[in-house]
Amino acid sequence: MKRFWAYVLLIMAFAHLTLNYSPLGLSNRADKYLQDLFNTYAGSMVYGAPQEDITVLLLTDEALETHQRGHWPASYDFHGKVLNTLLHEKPRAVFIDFLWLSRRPEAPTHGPRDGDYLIKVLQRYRSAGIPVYLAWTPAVKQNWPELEQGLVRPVGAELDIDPVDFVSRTYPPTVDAGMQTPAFRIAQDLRPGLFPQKPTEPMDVFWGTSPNEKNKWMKAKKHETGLVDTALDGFSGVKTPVPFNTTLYVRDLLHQVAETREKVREQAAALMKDKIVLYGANLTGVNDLIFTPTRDILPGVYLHAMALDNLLHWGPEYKSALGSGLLANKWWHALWNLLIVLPVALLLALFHRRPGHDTPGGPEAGKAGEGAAKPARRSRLNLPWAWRTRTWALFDRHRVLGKLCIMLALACWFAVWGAVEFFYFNISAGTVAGYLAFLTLGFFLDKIGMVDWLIDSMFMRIRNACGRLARAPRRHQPRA
Amino acid sequence: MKRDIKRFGLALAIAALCHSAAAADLKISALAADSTELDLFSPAADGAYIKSVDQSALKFPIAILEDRNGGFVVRLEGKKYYVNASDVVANNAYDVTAGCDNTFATELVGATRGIAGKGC
Repeated sequence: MKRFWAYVLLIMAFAHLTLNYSPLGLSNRADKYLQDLFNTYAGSMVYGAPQEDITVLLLTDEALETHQRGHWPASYDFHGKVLNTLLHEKPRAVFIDFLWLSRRPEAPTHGPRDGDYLIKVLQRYRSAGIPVYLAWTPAVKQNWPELEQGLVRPVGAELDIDPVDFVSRTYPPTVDAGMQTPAFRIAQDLRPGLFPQKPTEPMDVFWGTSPNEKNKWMKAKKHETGLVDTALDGFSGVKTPVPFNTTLYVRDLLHQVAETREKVREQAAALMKDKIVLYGANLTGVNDLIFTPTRDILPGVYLHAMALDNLLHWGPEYKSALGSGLLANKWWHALWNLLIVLPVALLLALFHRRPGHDTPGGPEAGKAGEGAAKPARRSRLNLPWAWRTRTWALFDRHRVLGKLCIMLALACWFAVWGAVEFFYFNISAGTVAGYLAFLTLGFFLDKIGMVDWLIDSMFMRIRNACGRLARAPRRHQPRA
Repeated sequence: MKRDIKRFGLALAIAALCHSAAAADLKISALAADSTELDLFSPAADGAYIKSVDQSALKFPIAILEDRNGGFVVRLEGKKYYVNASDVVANNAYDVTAGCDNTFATELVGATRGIAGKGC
């Protein structure tokens, strides 16, 4: 019995190592990679359609070519024109994903200065009660002291990029100096009761992959890699798909085209009225691009749009590395992982066969029926031992099939818990790779007899230590 | 040769007349529903903001001199200005035969944007 619990303890210690530590980051990498695969191929089933409330307004080369003769950065008056046109459609909120870093030119001898019109338009927004969020840095603050007078709500729009694969997977609630990020601030401002507690855990953005009917007009660069190719080779190549979030080009906002004025109004209202509009850019040579978990390249504004979509879709139950609720704590998370492994460890210990011991067909079996007598005696006292003997005999008859069944059962067990972790505990990537490592390395170590060797040497050391302790008082006894 | 030049000149004159007649028919009849003032911009390529005129100071209809992409050129108090199409109600005909590029430009280029044009 001691040996049984020693075995369980060793397996649990090994599980703790594989599940909570990532040697050379490999386990972590594998988890993220599997998370991306899950997002890419199960995204449409898990996530569904995009939020109706969000529209991305995209400044493209064509609009810049027409209205600014291709100059970049565009004048502040141009941004004013775009925002004023948008104001006619009465959006619910606007996020400006531009860093207004260029200095405003000095005022000419007569007439207004570039940017005065923008301030005028932002004042109109304030009068209309429409909040405007602006990507903010200290340089923007220095350029635009006027904006701090309640014209815009500053937000930090820094990207969080994975240093290994450059994927923009994580979206923090706040950035430097505690400034909130656009998605978190907009979600909290527009839905005040959304978060019972202030969110602190960085979100792992889950990318929607369902087709958006409103984006049918857009063209995509096709990506040929299918599920089978990905299964065999992994992700290969990147693509620029039709985006998940509803999109409108600045070109079409400024030059609205339809059969009649009424139709123009109708279409504009469907895209912008009472919507949260995220105004960003996709310009050649301005690499404000992100690499998404689904291996797509998209303009940076879509990361904010998708994060906001996640927040409106899942609310406080957005997906993150530690999840929400009780598990949103590193220590609870570690304990939870061990609890998932515990039944597996118990079963492994129960069915473990020490080479040459207790094996029905092993060397001890033939010794005067000793091997057969022990389990028979145990079976009267304890049912699992009899069950164990019968299962061993079954495995001996069907070696390959038996092992396959065990592997499949374990994989199913961990897959089920992976799903529970994702859907119930909101953990973005279950520790799938950790479980796989536990299974494969565990089997390997067991195969080479490492676990038994460890237990034997552990027992031997304990026995020696006990012996030394027992002998120690005798040395100090006076000789008779 | 001389005759051909004359013919070409005549055709040009007719085309110019037709164009000006068409533009003369275009009018701004009112400000957009929620606007109380009209924003005026420079008709030059930079499109810089010049001033805003209160609705009470405007007399409708205002003739449109030129129908541009997303706006109109008008004459007010003897000066030409550009106004945004969305700020006004006009009798312009909508063209639905636009052939635009609807793809993204997400090629990662090893150069930054130039000072004008499409850069690189």
